[in-house]
Amino acid sequence: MKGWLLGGVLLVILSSAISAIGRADDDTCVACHEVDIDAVLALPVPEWRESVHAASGVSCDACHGGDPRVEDADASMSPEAGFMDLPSWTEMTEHCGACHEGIAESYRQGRFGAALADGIRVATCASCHMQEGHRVQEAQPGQIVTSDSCPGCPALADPQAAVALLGSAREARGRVLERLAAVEDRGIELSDYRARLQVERARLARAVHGFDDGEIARAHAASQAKVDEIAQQVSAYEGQVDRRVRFGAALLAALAAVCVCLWLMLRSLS
Amino acid sequence: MAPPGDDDGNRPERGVDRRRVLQLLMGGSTAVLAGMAAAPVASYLRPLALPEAEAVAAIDDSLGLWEARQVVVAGRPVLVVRTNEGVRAFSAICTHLGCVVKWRKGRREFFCPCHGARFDAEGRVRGGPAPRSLARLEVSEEPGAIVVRKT
Amino acid sequence: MSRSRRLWQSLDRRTGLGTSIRRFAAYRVPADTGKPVSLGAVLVFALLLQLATGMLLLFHFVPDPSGAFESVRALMRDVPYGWLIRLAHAHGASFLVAIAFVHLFHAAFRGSYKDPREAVWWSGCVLFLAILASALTGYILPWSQTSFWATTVVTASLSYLPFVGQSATEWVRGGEWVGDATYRRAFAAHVALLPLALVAGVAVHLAWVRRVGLAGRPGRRADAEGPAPIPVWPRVALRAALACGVFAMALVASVVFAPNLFFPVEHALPADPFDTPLNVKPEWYFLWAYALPRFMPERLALIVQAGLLLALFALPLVDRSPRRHPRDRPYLTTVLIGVVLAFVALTIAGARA
Repeated sequence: MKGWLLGGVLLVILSSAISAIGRADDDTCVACHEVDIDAVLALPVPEWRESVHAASGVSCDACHGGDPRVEDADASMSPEAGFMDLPSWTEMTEHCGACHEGIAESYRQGRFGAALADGIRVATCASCHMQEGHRVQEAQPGQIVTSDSCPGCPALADPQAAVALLGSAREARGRVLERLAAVEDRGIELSDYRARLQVERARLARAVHGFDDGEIARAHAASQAKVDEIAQQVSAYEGQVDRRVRFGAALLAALAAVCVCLWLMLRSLS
Repeated sequence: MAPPGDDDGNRPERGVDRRRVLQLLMGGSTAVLAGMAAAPVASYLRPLALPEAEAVAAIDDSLGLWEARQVVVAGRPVLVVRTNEGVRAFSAICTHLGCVVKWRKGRREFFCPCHGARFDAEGRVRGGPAPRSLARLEVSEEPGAIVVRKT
Repeated sequence: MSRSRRLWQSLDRRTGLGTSIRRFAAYRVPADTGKPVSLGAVLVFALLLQLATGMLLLFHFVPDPSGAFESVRALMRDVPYGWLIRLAHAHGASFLVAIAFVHLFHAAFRGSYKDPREAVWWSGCVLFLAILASALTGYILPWSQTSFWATTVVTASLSYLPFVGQSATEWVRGGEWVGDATYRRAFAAHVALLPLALVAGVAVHLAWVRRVGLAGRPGRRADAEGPAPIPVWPRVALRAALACGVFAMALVASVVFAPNLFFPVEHALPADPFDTPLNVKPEWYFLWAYALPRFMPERLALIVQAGLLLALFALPLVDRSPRRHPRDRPYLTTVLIGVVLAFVALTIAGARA
């Protein structure tokens, strides 16, 4: 109970932090790189437009630093403005972890984080999520680093199974979300349940980045149980919606009967 | 729906009949409507079930002889008192009209400030208007703590 | 004489109840009263419904910024039939305003404000403003995003008033910013001051209507006789009851089958003083005022609104000829049609903006 409340609050804080980082509207990075520069430097912009970052209003400066409000190129990309070009490999998790806190933490606590701390160049955020350049998205099956693509990789024993689990969890959440939207259309507002589903999504994403098959399966089962619980509450509201409509129809029928009687009485006067 | 040729002057009983049926219909549908408006209001005003409050409370075992301490069990006040026969726990709600009784150490009795009802250390009525003894709760002494339970 | 009849007569002798009913039933009004719709009767019915549902809401509603939103959510989800009472109140407000608009313009077109009915017109104007004020203050009470930001914008627009602007805004808000004090003002006005004013106002309005008589459909010429008057019972009363029944059906249909009809998405979010939602719009009946500043400076828009208010009250003083038929006073009829068209156009512009 307290857990998901806290999670919800964190989520809200996080999302407002994200939206405050930089809106694409007043962004000189995008404006210049899109048109005024050679092809290579302009490449990231269209890719970024298709990323989750663009969708949630996270722009270049979130990862590369600099000041997107300054029009002068030298000034906006000066060290004083906090510009840092490419984040270094070893600092990658801290970079992404500035927003993706929980995920970075579970990465650091997992075996990859331990290896990275020992100076071994292991897979980190970009290895899976930036295989298509700046088109940063949830990693798809083919993009996940496995022992095939990285010999000697101590990663997941069965990445396909993990991906299938995540897919089924996403579908289950999607189904509940659809039913939830239908109930809201009928006048019962359920935004708190929506937030609880988001918390479950974040919880699972966090577990995945520890890269431990057993842990992922456990987290999936736990999150599935929560989602089922939410689905059950949603179906209670679905029942309520049905009862409301039945009551409304009966009330309308009674009113119509009275109206017809009144109309007949009026007619019988003439 | 007056059929053509209907003439109240010639066949008065038909007009009366129709009016009577219409009045019955009107009365019936109005009664149904009134019921459908009143029923929701009645269930709307029915008291809502409160969420269950914690039915267990614990205090440390520093409670001295003939001393009492108030705790909250299931959202209501409870008095725990140590008598020479052991620890007792009573609902602090006076059985007369529901005020909260106080422990008077000097007299070794519970006293209700509202109408002066008095109960002894076993919760029995000693005087005043109270009709029943104070309700007793289960209490157990555990190492370092006194635990009160509402069953 | 039967027992119940004796009881009734003894009650009547002491209270005059039966006599008043009989007198009201026999009261004569123009024969076309309530044709095609009894607007006044429906307004009284809608107002009574607002009073009843409003009182019921107070049994579960928590009138405080810290608990209002949650309590409305509980009303809508957990309290048995809370949804029905809350939605009937919220949708009912929109219906009430809509019918009041029609009643007002109907009276204006018919010239019902003319001698000797000026006082009836003025009391009606006051009632109209009280209804709008009730709608505005009621919109604040759930303390949602739309509540908060609509209040912020409306109170801020007062600051463009000449000379008194800043202090007017502060007075209405009960402080520099919209907050707890604003909420308490809105609550006090909505549940005590305005309902009392409305009930008293309706009583006065009806008493004056009774004193001077209903205007009825205007004849083509000033001295033309209208249709012969008829008693209220049965014809006029049945028409009024039928109109109220149709109104109730429309209200129930919208409450049950289109529960979100009058609510933007942001009305489902709790107020956040640090985040203005993307679509801050008032309810449909204030959209015209919301659209005005898009076509003119804010101060001019405020003057236009004040001018409209003044014109509303001044109407019986400006148009003093005894002729009531719209075609007998083409100039004013044209202006009225212009006002209605402008209202519709501005409302659409506001909705699209």
